[in-house]
Amino acid sequence: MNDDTLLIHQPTRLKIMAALAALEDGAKVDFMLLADELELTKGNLGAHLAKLEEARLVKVEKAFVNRKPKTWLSLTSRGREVLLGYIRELERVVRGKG
Amino acid sequence: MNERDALKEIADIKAAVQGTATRVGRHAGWFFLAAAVIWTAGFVTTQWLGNDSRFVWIGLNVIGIGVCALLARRFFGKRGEQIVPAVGRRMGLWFVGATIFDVMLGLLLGLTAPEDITLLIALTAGLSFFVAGSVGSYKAQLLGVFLWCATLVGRLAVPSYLPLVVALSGGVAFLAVGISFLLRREA
Repeated sequence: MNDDTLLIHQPTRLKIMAALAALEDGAKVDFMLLADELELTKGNLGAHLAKLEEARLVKVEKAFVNRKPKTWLSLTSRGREVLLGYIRELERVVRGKG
Repeated sequence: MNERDALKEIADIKAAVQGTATRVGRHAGWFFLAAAVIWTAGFVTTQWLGNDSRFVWIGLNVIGIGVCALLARRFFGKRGEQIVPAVGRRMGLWFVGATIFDVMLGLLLGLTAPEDITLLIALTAGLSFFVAGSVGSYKAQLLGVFLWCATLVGRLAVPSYLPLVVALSGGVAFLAVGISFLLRREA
């Protein structure tokens, strides 16, 4: 396992990556939607996102809308590649070639 | 990692992907409900008013574009939960373009007969959903084909009641698709 694979091997980070992978290319979701969807606290999600952002797997964009802070999340193309590679690894294990 | 752990992780990934896809796709249902109301009102009016219905259609189209713009702003704009990719915005523009095309063609060809107006709008709507399905959900393509079939059957079987047939079949189809989106549950 390389560093990226180890990073997303953690269950919560894997769910974050998978949830963002559902979006079409160019789409972004609100931080609060993802927190609600994955039943995570804001602090917990924020901490995992910081690690994923640092590894350039997830893009975090912040903006003010009507003077209120809003955070948009999306998967980077590198993040998508890492996730697909990880899924291929899992499939290899299931097929008994791991 | 053993096979059992790998299978569990694959299941977790599928559940997370499905959860987000369901959540962000659910809002699309409101667009179909709005379309159901405008579609049914328009074609029932066409059946009822006859030649004068073309003016009602221009008004309904303006209302429809306005309602869709408000819904898009509410759900998919910077205030909403999701920012749609460029392809989503382009599809929205396609529908606006198709509406302008219908209005221009209707006016330039001087279409006033309820049957002609019905054929123009219903067939263009079918084409629009077919095109939308080619870059989005295949369900949109099925809806497009359904609209074409309903129009054809109405035209051949009961031409004098064509607007009413299209109003009911299309209205029910939009309603069903809209409700199916809104009632989507996570797997």
